[in-house]
Amino acid sequence: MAGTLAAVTMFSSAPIAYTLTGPTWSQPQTPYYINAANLDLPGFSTETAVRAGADTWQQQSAAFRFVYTGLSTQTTTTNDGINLVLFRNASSGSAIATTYWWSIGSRIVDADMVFWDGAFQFFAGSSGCSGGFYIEDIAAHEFGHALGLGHSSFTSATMYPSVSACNTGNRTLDADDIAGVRALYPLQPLAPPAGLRIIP
Amino acid sequence: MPQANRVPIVVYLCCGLLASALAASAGQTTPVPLAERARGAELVVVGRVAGVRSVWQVNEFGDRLIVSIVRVAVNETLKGQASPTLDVEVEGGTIGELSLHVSDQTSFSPGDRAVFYLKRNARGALVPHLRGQGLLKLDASDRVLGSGLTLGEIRRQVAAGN
Repeated sequence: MAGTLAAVTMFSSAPIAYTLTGPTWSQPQTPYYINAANLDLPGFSTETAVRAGADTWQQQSAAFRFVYTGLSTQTTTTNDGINLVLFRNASSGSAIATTYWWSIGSRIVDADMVFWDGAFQFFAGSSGCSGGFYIEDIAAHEFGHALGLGHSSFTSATMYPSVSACNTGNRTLDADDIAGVRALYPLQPLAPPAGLRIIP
Repeated sequence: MPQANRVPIVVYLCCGLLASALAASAGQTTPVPLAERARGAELVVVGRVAGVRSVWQVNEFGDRLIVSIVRVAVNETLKGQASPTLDVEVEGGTIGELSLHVSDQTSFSPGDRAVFYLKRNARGALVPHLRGQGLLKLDASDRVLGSGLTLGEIRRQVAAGN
């Protein structure tokens, strides 16, 4: 994307390849919903897998988190303040899933994800996949976009733009992904307990 | 890793330039080879962006989205017959202070030069074939941004796909 900011690599001890798209969420958490209706799996399995993908980032982005709020029957996306994950019985080129995120100035205000269920078969868990994709891994990548990350050029990164069938690597963040999300949402230093004086 | 999954990885290693170009602007995708991409496109052109304006549109699924209408001054037609200027509709853009970002699309500014793999949608508007994989931005030396892929190689691949 034109607004993508390339990460600085010159002065870092470890090479980094993540990109930031600019805006970030300004509040510490935001709710999201799942429309789990799809062609491949029972709703409960789908819901669990999407949540697992979202949670991939939770341990590394302490300054912000997506909070799962419940199921939805909504089937369309727009800037309506409802962050939605849905499955669509349609294809979209070779995209497995697409994230749409909306911003006003530097603030993300809405994010929705569409899994292209008409083109690909989706699986849950970590076994049994054949020629398709695990929801958890695709969701992990898409939630990275919803956080404000662009693509990484590291093939081992969750934010690498393409993925092979049945890959389970996205659900484990690469150091580059962690560096990216921490650049967007820096970990806050712990405040000293009340009453404790800090002596320089 | 199952044997079936090794194929694309081997392809990436053998054809690193192509693979990186395939991955350059897409969302999380399964990369489509350039020749196959050209085969599926109605029109392939090289051009420079003359202007961009954004509008609200409701797509075939009922999503209300911001769409950018990218006016392209065509420098070279690699497939099909193109008029000197084309309007290409690309999801995403900015209206007022509100911006829509789309993970598998590419955004454009006036002056950008790119290869456009195009098809017509149900309304007859030109849109990128395979979404972001149908849009390859070029740098000043006619290489695809973020890869070593050259415009010359794209020309060869388009010819191979026809």
